Amino acid sequence: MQNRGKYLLVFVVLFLISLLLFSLSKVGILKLNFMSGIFAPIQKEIHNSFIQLSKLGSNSETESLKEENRMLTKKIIDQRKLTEQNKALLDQFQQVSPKSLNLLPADVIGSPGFVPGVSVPELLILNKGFSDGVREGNAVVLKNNLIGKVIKTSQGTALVYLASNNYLSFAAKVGEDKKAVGVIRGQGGGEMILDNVLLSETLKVGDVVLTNGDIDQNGKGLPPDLVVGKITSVDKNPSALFQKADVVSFVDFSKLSNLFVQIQK
Amino acid sequence: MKIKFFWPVFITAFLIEITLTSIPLVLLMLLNLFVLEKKDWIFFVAFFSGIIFDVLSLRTIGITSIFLITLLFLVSLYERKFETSNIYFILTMSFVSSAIYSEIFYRFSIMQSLLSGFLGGIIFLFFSLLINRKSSSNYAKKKYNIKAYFKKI
Repeated sequence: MQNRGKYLLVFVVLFLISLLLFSLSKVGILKLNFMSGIFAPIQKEIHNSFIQLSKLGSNSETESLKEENRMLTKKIIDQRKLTEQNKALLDQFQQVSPKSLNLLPADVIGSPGFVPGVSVPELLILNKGFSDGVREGNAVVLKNNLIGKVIKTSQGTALVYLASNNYLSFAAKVGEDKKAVGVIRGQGGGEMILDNVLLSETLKVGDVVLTNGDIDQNGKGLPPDLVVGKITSVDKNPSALFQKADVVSFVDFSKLSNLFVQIQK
Repeated sequence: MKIKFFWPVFITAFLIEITLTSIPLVLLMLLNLFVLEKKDWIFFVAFFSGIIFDVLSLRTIGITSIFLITLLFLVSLYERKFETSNIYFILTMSFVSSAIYSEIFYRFSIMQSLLSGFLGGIIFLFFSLLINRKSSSNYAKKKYNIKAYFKKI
C-alpha cells in the first residue's frame, strides 16, 4: 500500500514535468540541441560499424552491378540534359542559370525505425544541422538520386524523411519528353507510387522518374531532375480518373552512410 | 541494486536503439528492471532516458518520457493483483508495450512486436542470471535461481 502511494506520487510528478516539457517543446520554446552534438560522433561510429557488418554478407558482384546500373542511369539522365540544353541553345533561348545549389556532405548517424532484415528505413538522422546551413525542405541526394527531404533540423543534426516514407509526397515527371507529370507518394517499406498521372500520358515499365522541382522563393524544396527511381508496374484503368505506377528507387536505402544535402547559399 | 552490470548494458542498449533499430530496447530494459527491482527511482531513469532519447531522435521532447513512466505505472498497478516477476508477464507486457510503442512512434509491425516480446524474455532471463544474490531477498534467490532451474530441466 505504501509502495503504491510512493509510485503514484513519483508518477504524477514526473508525468506533469514531462507534460510541461512536451508542451514547451511543441510550441518551440524548449530546445536541447547541444546534446545532439555530444552524442553525434558516438552515433556515427556505431552506425558505420553496423553498415560495415551488414556489407560482409552481401554479394560483391551484385553490388558492383547495381553500382554500374546507377552510373549508367546517371549517364542517361546527363545525356538527356545535355541534349535539351543544346536544343535550347540552338533555338537561341537564353539559358537562365538557376541559383547555384551547393552539396554539403553529411554522414548518416541513425536510422530510427529500421530493423535489419525486418523493415526498411523510413527516416535518417544526419550529422549536419542548421549550424551547417541545413534547412527544413532541403533535398538529400546521393549522386543524382533523390534520397529524401530534410524535415526537421537541430543545431548539429537533421531528420530526413526518405522518398519512400509514407508521409512524403512531391511532384515528379516521367518519359523522355517529361510531359507525364504526377505525384510521388511514399508507401513505406521502400515502396513508392506515382499517382495522379493523366490517362492520356504513356507510362512504361522501366521509365525513369525524375523530380519535377518545387523550390520556393526561400530556396526550400526539391530541385528538378533528380532521379527518384524507375517504374516497375503500371496501373491504368480506363474508368479511373488517373493512372498510377509503382516506382522503386535505384538506391538501397538500408545501406546508406554518406550522403549530400543540397543547401542554398 | 540487485542486478549486476545493469548500467553498462543499459547504456549500450540505449546507444544501439538511438542509432540502429526501432526495437524498443530501453523500454524492455526498464520493464525488466522495474519487475525485478520494484523501486521508485526507476521512474526517474525512465524520465531522463526518455528526455535524452527525444533530443537525440529529434522527437518532441517529453513524449517518450510520458510513454515510459506511464508504462511503469501500469506495471506497478498490475503488481497489486498479479505476480509480475515471471517470464509470462514479461513476454506479454513486452509484446503489448512494444506494439503500442511502434504504433505511436514508428509504424505497427507484428514481426517487430513479436521480436520485442521474445527479446524481453531473454533480457529477463539474462538479468535474472545477473542478480546480485547477496543483496537480493530470499524470495528472489529462490525465484531467480535460473541455473538450478535449467539443471532441473
